[in-house]
Amino acid sequence: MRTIHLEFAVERGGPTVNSRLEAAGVSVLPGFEPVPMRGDDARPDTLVVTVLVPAGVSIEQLRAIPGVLGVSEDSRVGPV
Amino acid sequence: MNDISVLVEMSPVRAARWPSGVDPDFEPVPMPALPTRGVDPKGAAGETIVVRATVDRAAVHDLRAHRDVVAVWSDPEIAPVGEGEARAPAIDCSPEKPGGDAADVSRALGADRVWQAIGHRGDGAVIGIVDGGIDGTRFPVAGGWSPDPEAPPGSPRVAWDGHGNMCAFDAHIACPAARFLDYSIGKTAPGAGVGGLLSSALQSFHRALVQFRIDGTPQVLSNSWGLYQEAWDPFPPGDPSNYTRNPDHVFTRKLLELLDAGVLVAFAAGNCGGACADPRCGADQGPGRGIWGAGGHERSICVGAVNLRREWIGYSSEGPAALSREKPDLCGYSHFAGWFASDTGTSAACPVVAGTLALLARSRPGLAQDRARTTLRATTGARGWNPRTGAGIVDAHAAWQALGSIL
Repeated sequence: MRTIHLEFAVERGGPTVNSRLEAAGVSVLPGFEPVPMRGDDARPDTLVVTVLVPAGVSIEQLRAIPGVLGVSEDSRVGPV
Repeated sequence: MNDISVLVEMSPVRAARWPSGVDPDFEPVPMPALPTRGVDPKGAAGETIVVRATVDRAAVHDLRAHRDVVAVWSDPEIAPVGEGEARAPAIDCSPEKPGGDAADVSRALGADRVWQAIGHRGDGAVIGIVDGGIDGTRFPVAGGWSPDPEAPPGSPRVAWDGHGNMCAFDAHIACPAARFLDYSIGKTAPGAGVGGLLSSALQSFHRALVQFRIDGTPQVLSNSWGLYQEAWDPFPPGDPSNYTRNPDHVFTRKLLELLDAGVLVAFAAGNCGGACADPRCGADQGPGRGIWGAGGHERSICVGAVNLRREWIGYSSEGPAALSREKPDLCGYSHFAGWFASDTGTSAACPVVAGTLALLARSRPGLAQDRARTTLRATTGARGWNPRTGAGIVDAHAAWQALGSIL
């Protein structure tokens, strides 16, 4: 399992983010709220969801989830 | 009389025709013709000689008018470059040897003079520590967020070997009255397998922004964490998902939201300076190879490290950052006896500056990130910027005084 950020366009109506994630075989990381992201002239308001992704699911499959605008894999960080 | 020494360039004539004041013991120095020199009205377009003369300053005009003089040049006093000036500045690569204690850091910051002037020590300050967790039995923890429900904010079960406790202790040096919000990103979320993920930092920033909009706290977020190598980012530079060099990454965008809302945010520069880099840096050490992602954004307050002798600590990451040129912004203190026998790293320096920011925020209401950053940089007492110590060393009292005339 690995953790990945998925950035969704904010939509009204239609299937929920959770149902789309479920259909793709991934789940929200427990304890992690969806993070609203402020839009600007170049991009709309979005929602970032941190998900647990099984080894068999590829980045391309995640990018293909309806409404996904961006995918970024988690980075390890350490105390300095 | 106001005698000065000058160098007189003249046509190569006999000494008998030299102007008065020329030193006869100074052997004339022949000078080649200058091909670029235009037509000389005195007909001296060819070779010349240079002699030394002592003349009254008021007589220099007359000297220039002498028929054989081509030009009069200054002959300034010069001095040997002193041994102290020629010696390279000392570099501290001994984190195990503290150069003083927390009280020394407080005095070096001038925090005591700010306390005296404002009549308190940062009352009402709330600092968010984004780190491995703060033990609430040792420090005043008012909330926060943890990815681990078994070890909530303030739990004595901390990650990263008490590193977060060190950060809280060091933030208290300038702002002893501060309370803390504990954002424990070093702890492990169920299912994630490991702690210390950027997703936890993103979640922490989100929670801090929500909290700030509710009650105006935390006023400051302190971040003593980072990527030791660019390769820790799973996506390479140029990939749209990249973090290290991408100002549009979601975490960096969330940082900007916090700054625009009014939260002050400081980041440790990192420990990959070229003189004695942390081994975890691998080949990523030295200039331009140690400040990755949001901490190096132009608007972040990026903190390097010096010791109490004001010497650069040789592992403090050197600019430029991946996202902007003039990082680190400035230095805080490290290598002093604090929470540990020696509090080390840019990790210690960052909360020292964050505590300073909290004190400033409580004494200068309305202080925002950009003003705070430029003021901290402008009041170090140093001149210019360099990639090791940035704009110099933080001076809380000087910054407080400067802000008093601005806000």
